[in-house]
Amino acid sequence: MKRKKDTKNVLTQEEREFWEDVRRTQAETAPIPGIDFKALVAESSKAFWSIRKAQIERDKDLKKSLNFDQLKEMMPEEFAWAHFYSNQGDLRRGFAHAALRFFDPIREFFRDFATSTLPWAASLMLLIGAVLLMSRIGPIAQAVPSLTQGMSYSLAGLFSLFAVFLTVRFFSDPSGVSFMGLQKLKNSTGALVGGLCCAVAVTVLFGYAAQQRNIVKTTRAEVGPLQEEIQLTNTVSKVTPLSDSVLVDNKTGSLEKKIDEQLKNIFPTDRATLKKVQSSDDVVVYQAALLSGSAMKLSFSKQKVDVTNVDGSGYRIMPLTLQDTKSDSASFSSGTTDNQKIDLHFSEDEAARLSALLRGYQGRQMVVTYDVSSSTLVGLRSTDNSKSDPFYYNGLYERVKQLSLKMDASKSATVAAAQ
Amino acid sequence: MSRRTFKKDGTVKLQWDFIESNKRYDRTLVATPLNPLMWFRKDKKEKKLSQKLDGIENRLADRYEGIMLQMLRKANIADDTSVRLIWSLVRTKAILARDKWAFPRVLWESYKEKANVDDSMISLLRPKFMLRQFVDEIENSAHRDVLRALAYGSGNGSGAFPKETFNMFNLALVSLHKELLQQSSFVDHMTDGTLRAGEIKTFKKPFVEYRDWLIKC
Repeated sequence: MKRKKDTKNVLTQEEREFWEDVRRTQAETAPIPGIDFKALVAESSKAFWSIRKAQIERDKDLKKSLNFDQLKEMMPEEFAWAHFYSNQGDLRRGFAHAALRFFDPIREFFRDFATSTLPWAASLMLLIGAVLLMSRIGPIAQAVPSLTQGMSYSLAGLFSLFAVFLTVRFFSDPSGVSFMGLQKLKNSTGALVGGLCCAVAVTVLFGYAAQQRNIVKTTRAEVGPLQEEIQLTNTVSKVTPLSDSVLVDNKTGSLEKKIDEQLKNIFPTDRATLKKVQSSDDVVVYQAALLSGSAMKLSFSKQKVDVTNVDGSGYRIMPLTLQDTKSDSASFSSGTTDNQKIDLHFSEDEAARLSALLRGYQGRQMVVTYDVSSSTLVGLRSTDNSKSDPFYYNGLYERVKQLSLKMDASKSATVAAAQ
Repeated sequence: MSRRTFKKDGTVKLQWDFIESNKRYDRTLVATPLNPLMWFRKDKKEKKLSQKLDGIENRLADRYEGIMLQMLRKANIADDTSVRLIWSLVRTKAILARDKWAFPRVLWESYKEKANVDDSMISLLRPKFMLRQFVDEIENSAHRDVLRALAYGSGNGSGAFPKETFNMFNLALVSLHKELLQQSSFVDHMTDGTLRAGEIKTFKKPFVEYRDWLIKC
């Protein structure tokens, strides 16, 4: 038993060599007498940073008191370096060195700017881009048309992308590793600033939306049902293809959904219920009831869209082709197979203004919107949104709306006949 | 096989902190009103970062003490001036480092600048030096401790080595190999090209390569 134990404790050649190596390693890694390694590291750290601080202070003082005389004194040193390198046969390097040293303060300035102020500027650009992009979408665009006029989606998108690129680029350190990660943001002023920026962005975006809703609400409360109808007319006439596609949609059965979507856009906070009250091959009639209590009838046919209030007042929207403008009338054709001619008669003065507006648009199709009860022309709009003539698409509608051209009821009998 | 996470109290994370804190501290010192995030409450930030840096340095010095002393002895520069100079160089290079993995390379280069002996004499220690950061990442604490004690001089140096320690050391080499394989996608970068992932994958038990690097140099 005792012999067995001895055998177990006997080291092999490999083990003996191992222990020798370990002993030697331990001797080499053992603390050196008189040297406190950790204390020396700490001491060197203090010394290093005090030298660095002094250097920074010296540079600051130099910058503060830098005048032309000092600059002159500095120059020879730079030229001495240039001279040194040129003596070495490297003239290009010499001048590059001199130039780089000479521009050090400028480089420092831009480095500071690029690592601090630029991200802020880029973030601001991002924010503006986002607001502009959002303002092109949905109800905000109606609230702030002047802001979005002339600003295309692609331009707003490009602007935002550029801002995103700048933000990512300048919030990263030279190795490309983000230094503004969540962990770093924690307990830093960055978190506060970032939070404030987000709050401002959200306030701006939702503020516009709220403002828009308020405008609609206030207008309804102040002006009443007629104004509501104008809102509806505006929106319906804006989607002119709707009247063209009535028959197709009627067949596929998706018209209801389309009208419902339109009503949601018109009355975002006052949801309408939609009920089909009449349906034939030529005409589909819907009854829309709003939560506010108002009700209206929407009649869609091949030739026109009628929006009628319960009291009979309302608007008619018709796709027509302009035939001619005279001193007292404007002739349109209905564009249907029977090619019925419709004359809208105005007073001389009003017709002259309309004629001036429509000059050059003969033969082009428009959607004519007029008030049925007062025979007032509410708007004219092209049926195509040709970008080559923005006035024809948007400007004409606005202008006609402003003019509120009143048709001569007695002479516009053809209109009634055309109904 | 590759793993991206490193231990919270491991040497790798400590090295990242060292590089980043040095850079940040220097940026804070030179901050002007043009750099509002840094400039705001500058003094307080300086003080906080300085304290943090002291803590990191203390722990890093503790971990690298053994291998550094061996390196100093090998290069015949085992004096306090060398230690001070090497660590000053480390800081200068850390401020200018391009990435957070730079610490081992920076420390080795600083040491090389100070060592006035032939390159071939000190380059034998380079793999052992580079392996130091992986030792603390080993999951098994017994394996981790045996490598620290026998190869990096944190043992008591009593001279008594039971047979079990030898077996434990061999098992620890397996753990070390496993760790290196797990970090294979970073190994080249972490060791500044000293160890190659492709080369490591060819190593077989009983991993004499690691044993040679760790205790034969």
